[in-house]
Amino acid sequence: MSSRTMDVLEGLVKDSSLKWLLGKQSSFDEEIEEIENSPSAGANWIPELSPVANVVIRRCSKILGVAVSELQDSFKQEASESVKQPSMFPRNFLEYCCFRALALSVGVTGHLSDKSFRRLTFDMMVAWEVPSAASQTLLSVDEDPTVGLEAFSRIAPAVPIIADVIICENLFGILTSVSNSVRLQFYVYDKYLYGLERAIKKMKSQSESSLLSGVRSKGEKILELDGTVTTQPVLEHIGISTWPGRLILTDHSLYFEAIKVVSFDTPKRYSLSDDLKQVIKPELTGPWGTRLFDKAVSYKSISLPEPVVMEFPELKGHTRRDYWLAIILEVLYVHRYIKKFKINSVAKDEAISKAVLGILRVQAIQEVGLTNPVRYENLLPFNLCDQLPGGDRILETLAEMSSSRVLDRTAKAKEGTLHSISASDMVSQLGLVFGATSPKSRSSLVVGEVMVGDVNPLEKAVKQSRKNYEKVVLAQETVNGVKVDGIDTNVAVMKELLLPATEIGNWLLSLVYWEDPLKSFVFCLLSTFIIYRGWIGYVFAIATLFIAGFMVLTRYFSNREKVMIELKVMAPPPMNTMEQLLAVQNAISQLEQLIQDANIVLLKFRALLLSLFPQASEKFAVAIVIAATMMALVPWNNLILVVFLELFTRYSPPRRASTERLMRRLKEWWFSIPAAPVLLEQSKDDNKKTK
Amino acid sequence: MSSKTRNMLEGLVRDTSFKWLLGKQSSFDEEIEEMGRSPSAGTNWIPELSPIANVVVRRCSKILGVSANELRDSFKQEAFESLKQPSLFPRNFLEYCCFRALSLSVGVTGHLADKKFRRLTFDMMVVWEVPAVASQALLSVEEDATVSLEAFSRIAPAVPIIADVIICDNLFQMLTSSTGGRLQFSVYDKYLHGLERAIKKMRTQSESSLLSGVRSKREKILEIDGTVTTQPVLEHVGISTWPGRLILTDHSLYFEALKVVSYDTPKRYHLSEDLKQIIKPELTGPWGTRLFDKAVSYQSISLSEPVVMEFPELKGHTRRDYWLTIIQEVLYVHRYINKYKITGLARDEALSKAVLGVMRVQALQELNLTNAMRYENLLPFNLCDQLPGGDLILETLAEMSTSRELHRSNKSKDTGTLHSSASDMVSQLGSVFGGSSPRSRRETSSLVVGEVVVGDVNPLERAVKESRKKYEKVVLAQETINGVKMGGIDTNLAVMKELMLPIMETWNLILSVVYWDDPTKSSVFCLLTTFIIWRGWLVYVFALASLFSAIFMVLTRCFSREKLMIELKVTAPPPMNTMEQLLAVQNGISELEQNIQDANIVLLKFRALLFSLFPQASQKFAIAIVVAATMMAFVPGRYLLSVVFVELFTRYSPPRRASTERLIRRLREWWFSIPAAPVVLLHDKNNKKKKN
Repeated sequence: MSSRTMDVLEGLVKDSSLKWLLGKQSSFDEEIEEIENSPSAGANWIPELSPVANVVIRRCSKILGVAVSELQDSFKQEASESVKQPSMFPRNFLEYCCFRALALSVGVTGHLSDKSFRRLTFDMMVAWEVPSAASQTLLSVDEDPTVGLEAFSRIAPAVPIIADVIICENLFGILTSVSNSVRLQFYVYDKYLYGLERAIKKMKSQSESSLLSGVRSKGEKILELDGTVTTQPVLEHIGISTWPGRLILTDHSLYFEAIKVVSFDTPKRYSLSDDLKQVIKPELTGPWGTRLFDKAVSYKSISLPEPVVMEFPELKGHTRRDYWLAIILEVLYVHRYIKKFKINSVAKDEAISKAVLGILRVQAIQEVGLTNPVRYENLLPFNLCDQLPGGDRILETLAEMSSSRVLDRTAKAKEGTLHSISASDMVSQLGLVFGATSPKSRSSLVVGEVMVGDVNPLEKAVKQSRKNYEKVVLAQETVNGVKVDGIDTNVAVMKELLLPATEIGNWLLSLVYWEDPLKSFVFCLLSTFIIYRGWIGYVFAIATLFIAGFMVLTRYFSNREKVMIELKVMAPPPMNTMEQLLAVQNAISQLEQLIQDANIVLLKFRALLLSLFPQASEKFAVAIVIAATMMALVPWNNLILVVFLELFTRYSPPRRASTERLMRRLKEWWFSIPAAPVLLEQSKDDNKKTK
Repeated sequence: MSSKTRNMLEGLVRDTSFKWLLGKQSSFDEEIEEMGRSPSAGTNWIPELSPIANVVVRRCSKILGVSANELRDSFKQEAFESLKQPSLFPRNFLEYCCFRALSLSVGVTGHLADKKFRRLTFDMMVVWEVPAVASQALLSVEEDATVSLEAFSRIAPAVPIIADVIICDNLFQMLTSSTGGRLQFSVYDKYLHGLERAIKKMRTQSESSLLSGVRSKREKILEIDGTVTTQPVLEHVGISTWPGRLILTDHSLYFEALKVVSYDTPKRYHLSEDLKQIIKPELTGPWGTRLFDKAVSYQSISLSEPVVMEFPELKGHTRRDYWLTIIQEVLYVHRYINKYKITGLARDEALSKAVLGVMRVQALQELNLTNAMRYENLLPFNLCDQLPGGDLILETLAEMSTSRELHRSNKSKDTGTLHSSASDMVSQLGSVFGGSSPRSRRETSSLVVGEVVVGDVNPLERAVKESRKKYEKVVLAQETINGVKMGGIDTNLAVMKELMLPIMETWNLILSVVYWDDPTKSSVFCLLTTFIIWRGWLVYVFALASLFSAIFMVLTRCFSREKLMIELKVTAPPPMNTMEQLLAVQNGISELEQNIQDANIVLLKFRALLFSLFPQASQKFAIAIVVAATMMAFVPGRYLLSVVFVELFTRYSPPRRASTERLIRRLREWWFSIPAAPVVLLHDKNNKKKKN
């Protein structure tokens, strides 16, 4: 494998170099000369366009088999007035020609392997940046041409396999990080497309193989396979059992086959398409159930009694696990999207294909040999929508567009105009069998998710979402900054944060316990008056208004007093190991005591309810009846007043002694209630699987 | 010490045997003969009394130095009409004579050492059971005489050192634990002998030079432990441990750490000041582990951390239990004094009551009882702390004490009648008692000796009896609680889950209605509830729910044949091996840390909101608050409640589910966009932990 990869890379480099050199010399210059020498020079040259744009348009006309002037006539005929404004004509016409040519090209099976196709798509982006004759001087012929994000975002999604509207910005960022630049170079682009081609071939061969032949339906495509004899195994943990095996992801399910001698066991299927409330998340594993290694994914659903954990061992880091986590989630999310928006038939195929293509892109990126760590979920459209603020809006827009397109397709079936290249068409033309595809038709000026001369609703939603995302990223950094280690340190932070509330609580307690009789008396009178007048609502309202006022004032004076926001916490002294162990032991003892006491309280209530001790239950029932009667007959305001007075004057000087006496009587009554008996039964059926 | 004890025991046995034999033969019979032959036979014989009662009365008259007839005349003169009823006369007259004689006898220093005195007090109890002529036949002279609880309860408290009204039931149970519910003279005599020795020990220690630098003259040393002849007492402060000796006085606890050849300066731990002291059993072990249940912890507002006194012994924790109890007795008596503002002579009486309690416990320790002793049952203030209604007993005691004080100051004529109170008891033991007013033959109140009233039950006894009845109920209930306590967190959690099952099922039912799993049910519930709120009938709903609970309890009682239903059946979780337990602990700690961290982040975000670290978010929050406040102020409560309920309840209804999910997502995104306020960790340079 390694040797084969080396050979492929060498071939790629050689081929790239040669083509690059050749293209540089012959591509534009040669074609320009050819156009000038041609007898029909007048008919092929459009004066408003730059020479580069003219070259690209000439290539498009060749692909389409029509003259440039005919394209111009079609554009004028089909486009709306706003698209035909003179100032926008060059770029819009260029887009028109490019999109039509691309729509035709992607219909050819194996178009990615066509070097001229790869070159053409890149040149389209170059031309897009300088479509007009007036901007020609910006291009320096001596430099290697590169393209910016805007050009990439406009052209690349026209070929669904290359990019997707939702993730193209992230894709561009990754491709440009290879050369440590903000502009895309052709050799990186070409390498990426080559990787895509190989990913497609791999998926095709795996899907057509006999893998999972007993359990997989014809419509299911195998997206990824790991844990085979040539790679590290994948370990499946269920309970405390662990099995090595291989893991297979399709566009509907996850399959695990445990290794047997010389073969694999019957596959276990973990569905991703059914509505089983699946939860998939990273997990830590280790011997005997310890949580030491962060290299696993857990799968949980209502059809399983306990979670299943797939471990992806590797020497360092958890890249392998992250990749699998992302692609499994992508399949899960696309099926949730389908169910939520009730997507069906062609639109459903499109949605699944969108996820499949996302995974193919990730596989292609893996082969580009990036040095930076890749965040796979940024390249998968449904993963990204799950994370982006407003991601649900993006999906909503996508569902609306998809539904609208189906209607358009059925409404207009005329031939001869733009093809509506969707993700499912893309996959179909890759030579794969795809179920339930209806005959294709075309809609006006729309190619897939791109529209000539305009930004479609999906792009708008994505842009809006990205702006919000930046805020969230900034806030998240502050959150990561305040995470500190150690329970004792965290408890110290919490105590410091709750200090104002604690002090207020203590102040109220001192009032209630009448430590200063005068203050308590005034407070009591004031509160009684407020309750009597029914002004509690106003008091709460004023309190909340004060909080709002405080926030506003703090904002205005926020420049000079930034320091006040910082929370200063005294870190507790470090404990040695013995002290930590003892602290744990004491905490566990206290916890057990606490649970025991709570159980006794509950058992006493049970005894009261079931009249195990009739005298106590009688008293309790009488008290309840009295309380219920008062609740029903006494006006609410008066009831609150009486309760407040009773509670507040409990520790006032005149009542303190009788309160203590009453407390003691209540405690004695409580102690005289027996607890309901508990019968412990040992479960005979519980035979734990142990090692 | 052991040899000395043996000699003493042998002497006691010999003396007792001889006296018993002699007493049996000569005590009653001899005196009866003597009285028969006396020339003044007519003057000394009371015909209504039984012969043995006459013998006891004759002895009392000798002590008092008056004739029996003169006693009779005094009784008739002083007693109420109700006491002089013919049917009650024999016993009441007997009590009158006995109490007068006892109050005179206890005035003699060292009266416990007097064998005659010990015999007399016992005979008084014997006679009390058969005071009248008509009941003479009940006594069989051939048998060794024993006494019952009733007789003991009437006579013994007349001598404060022997018994106290509050604890005499428990004392009697203790003394009769090896016999069938009746007290024998041999045990009684041994007990009194032990009391005598305890008194001597206390006097010796109090007059010694112990704590001479820090103890006031009037402070009495009650107990000392950890001396060179006994096991040491270990004091733990923080993680430091020192051996030394522990001394308890009637005001404080003192610890002297052991130094080479001598003791360190004593540390004083107050019991009399109001320092919110907490004294309770404690476990100790190396490096602060909690392995050995042999320690007492003392905590107060004047100490920065608790002090732990450990009492090492080979098996059990009897030594610790004893010390815990006597320390608490001193603490409780001072709380009683502070609470009821006892002053003057009454204060001395209260302290003496506690001191005498401690001495009784010390006496009992020497009896070598086989049963495990519960010391707190023998100490009056400990017992009042535990008994249901114990505070009523103390209240009654305070009232009686005050009342007696008034009587005493009102009438100061000196007569030859009854003496009183525990403080007199201690004074006459020859100990110096601080703050005591000059002792004189104080006037007595009518027929009252200490806490004992002739022919009647005083309020204190009544309170004690009432309290004891309730105590039995509490004991029964406590046994059920001990039966349901189980070890292991997982088992306890399983019990809790089982108990919470009805509540959880109710909650799940409500949740399913809220999530509109069945739209019809949810619609009906929503309409009904909105109607109830709108009409202001929420209160009636709560009232009805409470009434249903009460009715359920009553019905359950009526049909109480289904006892089985009360038993809670719980399936025990399977046992975990050590590795699994350790892993469970580790996971628990990790989750706890994560939870605390998340809570901190929430608090820090609120702090950031309040201080407008991120103005946009704070703006939104402030606007929301203002809107809520305005609604709270101006919209009637009922409308507000209705709107809130409808909004909350229809959140997951079919028409609103999608918009609810969208709104919740927007809220989450807003929350995630709030930065947390920064935290600066400061390390304390001054915190150098004391390590040993």
